[in-house]
Amino acid sequence: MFVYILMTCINQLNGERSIGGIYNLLTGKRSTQTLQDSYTYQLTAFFGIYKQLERDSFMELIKNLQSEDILIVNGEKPQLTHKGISTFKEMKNDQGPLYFDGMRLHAIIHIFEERLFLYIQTITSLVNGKKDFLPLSDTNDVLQWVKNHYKTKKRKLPEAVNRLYHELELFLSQIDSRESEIFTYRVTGADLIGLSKQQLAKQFNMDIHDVHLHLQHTLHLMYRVVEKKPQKYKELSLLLGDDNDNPLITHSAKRTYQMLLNGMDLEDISMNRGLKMSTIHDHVVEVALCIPEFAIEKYISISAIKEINEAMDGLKTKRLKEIYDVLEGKYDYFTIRLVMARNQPDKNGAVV
Amino acid sequence: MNTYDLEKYLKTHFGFDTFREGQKEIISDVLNGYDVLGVLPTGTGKSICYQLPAMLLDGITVVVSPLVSLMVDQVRQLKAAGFKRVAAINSFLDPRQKRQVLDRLSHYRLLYLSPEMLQNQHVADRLGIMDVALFVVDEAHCISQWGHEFRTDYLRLGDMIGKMGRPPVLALSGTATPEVQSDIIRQLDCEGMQLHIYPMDKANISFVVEHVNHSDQKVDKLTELLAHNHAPAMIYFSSRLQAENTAHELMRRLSDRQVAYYHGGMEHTDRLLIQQQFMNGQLDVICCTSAFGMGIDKKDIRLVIHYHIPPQLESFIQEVGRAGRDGNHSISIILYAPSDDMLPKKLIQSELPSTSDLDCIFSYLHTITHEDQPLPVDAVVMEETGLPEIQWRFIKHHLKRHQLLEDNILITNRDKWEVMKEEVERVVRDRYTYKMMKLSELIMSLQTQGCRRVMLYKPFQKDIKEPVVPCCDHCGFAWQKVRFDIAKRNPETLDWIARLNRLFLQGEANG
Repeated sequence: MFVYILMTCINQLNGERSIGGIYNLLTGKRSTQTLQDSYTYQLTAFFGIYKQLERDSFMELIKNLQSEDILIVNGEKPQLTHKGISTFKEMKNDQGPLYFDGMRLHAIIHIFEERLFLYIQTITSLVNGKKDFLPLSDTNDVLQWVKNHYKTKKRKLPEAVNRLYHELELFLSQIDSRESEIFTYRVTGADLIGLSKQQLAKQFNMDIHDVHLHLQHTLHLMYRVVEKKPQKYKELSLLLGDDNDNPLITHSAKRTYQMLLNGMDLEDISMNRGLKMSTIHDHVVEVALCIPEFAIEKYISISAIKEINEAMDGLKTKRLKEIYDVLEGKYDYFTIRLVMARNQPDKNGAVV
Repeated sequence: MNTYDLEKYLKTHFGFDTFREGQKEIISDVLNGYDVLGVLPTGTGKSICYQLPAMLLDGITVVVSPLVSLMVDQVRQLKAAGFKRVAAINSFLDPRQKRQVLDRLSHYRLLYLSPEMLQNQHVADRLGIMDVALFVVDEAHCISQWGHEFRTDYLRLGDMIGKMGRPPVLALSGTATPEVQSDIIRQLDCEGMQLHIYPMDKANISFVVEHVNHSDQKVDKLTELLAHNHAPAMIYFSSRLQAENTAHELMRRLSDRQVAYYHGGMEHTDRLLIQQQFMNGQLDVICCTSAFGMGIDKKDIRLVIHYHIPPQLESFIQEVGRAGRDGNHSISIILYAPSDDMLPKKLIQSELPSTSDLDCIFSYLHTITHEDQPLPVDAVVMEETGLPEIQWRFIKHHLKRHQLLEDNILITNRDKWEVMKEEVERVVRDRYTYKMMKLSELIMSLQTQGCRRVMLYKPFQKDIKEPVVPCCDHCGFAWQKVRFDIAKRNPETLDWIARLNRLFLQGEANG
């Protein structure tokens, strides 16, 4: 799965972005560049799906694919070879649809994951009278949350355990059976301890990256299904993140947005917040990316938007510099980026 | 003199009916306000000796322990058992969490501290104004230069105790030779300590040294041993990589055994999972480094095998002590090849700063003094000099001791510098000599022709119990003569629905 995702990224980036850019995408680096690229090249689904990925093992994989003649790297920028493209096509046929929704879920999925696993461990242990189990999570917030949640269930624990069991059974029976297996082998219950990622890799004869991604994939899908049908998945829906915060946007950008809404202009905001103009520009681009109702027309004339769009279509590239050059410097980078941000075709990062 | 119905508290808080050897005597002395030195063999419940008093005494009980994962586990276990007024301050906490604990100090009855926290002025100040009822030094042998796990931070314990208004002190250790015991008493400045020293020999363990001609043959030996016995087994390694590789090899060779590896370089969750699988009988064999085992109380470990020899007898005794806590027959086996002393020698060398390391750090410090700069934070110093943390703390300790470092400013005083340098070099030399001596003591004991049990425990105690099992290979025992077959057979690979059923104990899979 990891190789497939990597090849999807390389394919969509079309030789226009660097290897480091892919790494930043997968590990979910919150830079405006990474955010904008993931929208521009329709890779939002993969944003932050592999936060634990180590740069060294990532580079090693790239190197392996290079030596297998799957990709070449031109000045840091990877591109699929002919062999790579045909391999990718074959893989695409075998690979079912992927349901990652990284851009939206990257900041909340691990909370869901920790809650779910700890909650299963807690209630299956307690319903069997095992009080001295060692919790698998050491995140204080999660421990506290599960404790409080357990208190609400305590009086009808066997029923809660049963409902959770049936909801998991229902969900797992609808997904790829291999992913159901990986998932159930990872879970720890009353009398059965889950496997480490290394052990899962051995058991399912795959590498550790794929173990991680299959688990993440199952969790993303579960989150989305449960969210869509909370009536069917009552117990699971209680474990979803508290969605008060828009995770798409950094705190700092949000403040800039608030000031814009209050009618301040960019200069004022820059002065007021003591931030460089370029930082404020980054914020505005981020807001344009993340908040659909934000109207960029306030900052750019309709004709400019049209002209930039035409230039982009004509060039068939998403490289800022080329667009800038072809417009002969008529518009600054900020303006072009803003138009690009607004043009995102794939906002919800659904099925890839 | 206070009288408590200690058995009653033991039952209510820990669920045991009777104390194990030594516990009650130590607890009584502690509750009566004596300073106590307790040397109890590993696995006999040292922690109850302060946990129970912490629940009974007015004021806070402070425990200094170098085993961070152990302290985290204990806090969890106590909380799980209903004792909530417990906390730990260690390097796992971020500053916010640390502050939270420090702000609520008076709420706690039991507080665990890792040794480096003793250096933290804020922690020291806060504790200084607390009513400390008992100060516990866990793994007290770490205070002794002659202890096998000497820690520079422990040298500050004496000061710390003074700052807290000299509360009663309880020093605990699993392995302390008489030499180390008197060092503990001196360093803690507790002349009148009540001594509770219990023998550490185990009457239910047979000892075997298995000689091989070359280390390549060790995996074959392991395969033989593990095929012969089907019982919980631990295999100790000095190298993480070799623990991993051997685990893989054993998995390949012994398809009906569940083998895993464990070392300090693994993710936290994975470590917890492996540890609990072993506890739960899902694993038969664990290939581990010394990082495994701290605070693990699995009763039915039948085999403790040493693939690599530890650096001295104390570590060996501690590790062997994990076998047979249920009192049933268990075996210790050391696999020994002719050049096996190379690895521990190399490890000893890498632990201590070399002459060129010392030159480097001193000239680095010299430059800083010259430029009138304050001393950078530890992380920077370590990065720029390449010195491991433990070595830098050691140097820093000596700088402070010679008044060459005050409020993070290095003091210019040529004479003092020279004295300090000489002392550091001498201490390093002495430690090196001492560690090499300890290693050869261990190697000698492997090569002895006499009884292994006597060889092993003689440095620690006068009398050695008559074993209740065959004694050792030199007294006529061979591991082939017994066969352990007690491990629960692990079920076939389950499909997800069967696995889910077992997790939730549903349907017929519940058996």
